[in-house]
Amino acid sequence: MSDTPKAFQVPLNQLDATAHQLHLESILNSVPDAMVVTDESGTMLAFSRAAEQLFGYSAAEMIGQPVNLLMAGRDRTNHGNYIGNYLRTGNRQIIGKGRVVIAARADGMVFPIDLKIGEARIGDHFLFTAFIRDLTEQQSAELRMQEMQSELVHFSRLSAVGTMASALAHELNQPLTAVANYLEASRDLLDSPDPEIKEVLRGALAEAATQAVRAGEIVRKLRSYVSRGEVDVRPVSLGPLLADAIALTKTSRDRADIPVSIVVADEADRALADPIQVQQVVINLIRNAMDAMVGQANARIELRVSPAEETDYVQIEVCDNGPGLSPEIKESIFKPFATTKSQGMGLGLSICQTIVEAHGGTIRAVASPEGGTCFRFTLRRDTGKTQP
Amino acid sequence: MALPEPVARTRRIAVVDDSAAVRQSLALLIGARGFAVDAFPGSEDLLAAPDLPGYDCFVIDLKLDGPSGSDLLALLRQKGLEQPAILISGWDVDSLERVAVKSGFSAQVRKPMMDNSIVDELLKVLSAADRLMEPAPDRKTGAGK
Repeated sequence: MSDTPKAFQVPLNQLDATAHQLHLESILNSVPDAMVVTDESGTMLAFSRAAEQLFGYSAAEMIGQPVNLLMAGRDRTNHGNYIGNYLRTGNRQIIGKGRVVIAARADGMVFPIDLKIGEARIGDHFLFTAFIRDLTEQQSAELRMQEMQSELVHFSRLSAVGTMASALAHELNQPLTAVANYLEASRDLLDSPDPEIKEVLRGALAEAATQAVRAGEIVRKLRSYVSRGEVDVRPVSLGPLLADAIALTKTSRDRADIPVSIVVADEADRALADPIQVQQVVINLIRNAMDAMVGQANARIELRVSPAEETDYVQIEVCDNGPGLSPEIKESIFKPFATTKSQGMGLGLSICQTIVEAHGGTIRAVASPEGGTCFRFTLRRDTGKTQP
Repeated sequence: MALPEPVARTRRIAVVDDSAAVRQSLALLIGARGFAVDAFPGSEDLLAAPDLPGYDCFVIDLKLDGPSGSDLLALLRQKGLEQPAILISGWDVDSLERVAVKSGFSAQVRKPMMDNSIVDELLKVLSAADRLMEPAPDRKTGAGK
């Protein structure tokens, strides 16, 4: 793989225009990896056949367009800086090295790619050639995504919550079992006239109360772990933040098939939020949607960011076209330990609610027009007046 | 509420659970139903009990310090103890039944044990054992009635 970028170090300026064009086309049509050539302003000059298939755009549509159209997350906004930085300083942040970044398809779906960039100098000008491998279906995807995750602190915290939840499930079971047993026993002992039995009964009830308090402490411990009361609120751009969150939900292969698209209204992009916690909420909602649609044909998830009804708030919706919520579960969905998953703890949405409310927002579930479920939560809009 | 038919002799039940709260509350619950209960915190404690053949049923938690609940039952069987056993666990709910059947437990009960499930299972398991024992002590014949 490492030698591929050199393939483009052909003295292009020495070929006549037609030969040049044919040469380029033959490369573009035969390279197995998606390949995109840009000039130093990031404008696309060539778009290979594999790239057409990967991104869902035709070469004709893409040539002349800025390359950051193909990117998602923070790379979309930062890409101009990367090139400028390189040209100015010669500092190779990415040239020659493979890197995992998040790309966006024509349909808005985002996916992880392995990106390698080669440079070719033609006269005074640079050409950059990007070789792109789709990591979605790769065996190595999970591994490479982990590298990216290590940069994103929140993921470790998120999985720590998962591990902790399973340990706590067991912890919680002990006092709950004891409470149930003591109360059952008390009912049986209630009718006994024996004064000694009455003492046993008193002891059983006192013990049940102690164990109930213990169960409560365990729940409190978990809640305080997840949300420490304070949120580190600052101005954030929701588009890149959510694109990263989407990519993080696609790290396991059985989930990667479900397309997740995102639409961000420009006027709602800026919010005041703790980025890590908001990603935690969104990842949780997307994973729930994915879990609800395992094996479903045409499953898809859509994220929409738009101004909320309430002034100075934005709303983020995570909508699926899954089976929807039954009326019974809808009532209790944000309560701790309400779950429809056989292995679930029922804490995810309760945690989401804690986080959103700590931000001064609200979260609720509504029926999606397409038949599934939409989870909608609000955050304060960044009006630019508030100090970071 | 109708209590179960009184049994002719007091049945003896051994409970093994590493959580003191679960152990004590189970002993009280089962004891309140007229059983004689001995509770043990771990596998070794049960194995060191003076009169193992005297128990009518073992109620064993899956996760124990040292040998697991499944291992403990295997050790009991190795000693020639054939009494029925009930597995209890709060872990890995989906596979509990499979684990129980594979390890030779007669029944399994999930924690937390709301309602009467542990006592119900105990009565079922004991009466099934009685049916096997009554007509023909040689259970291999399976002659039944």
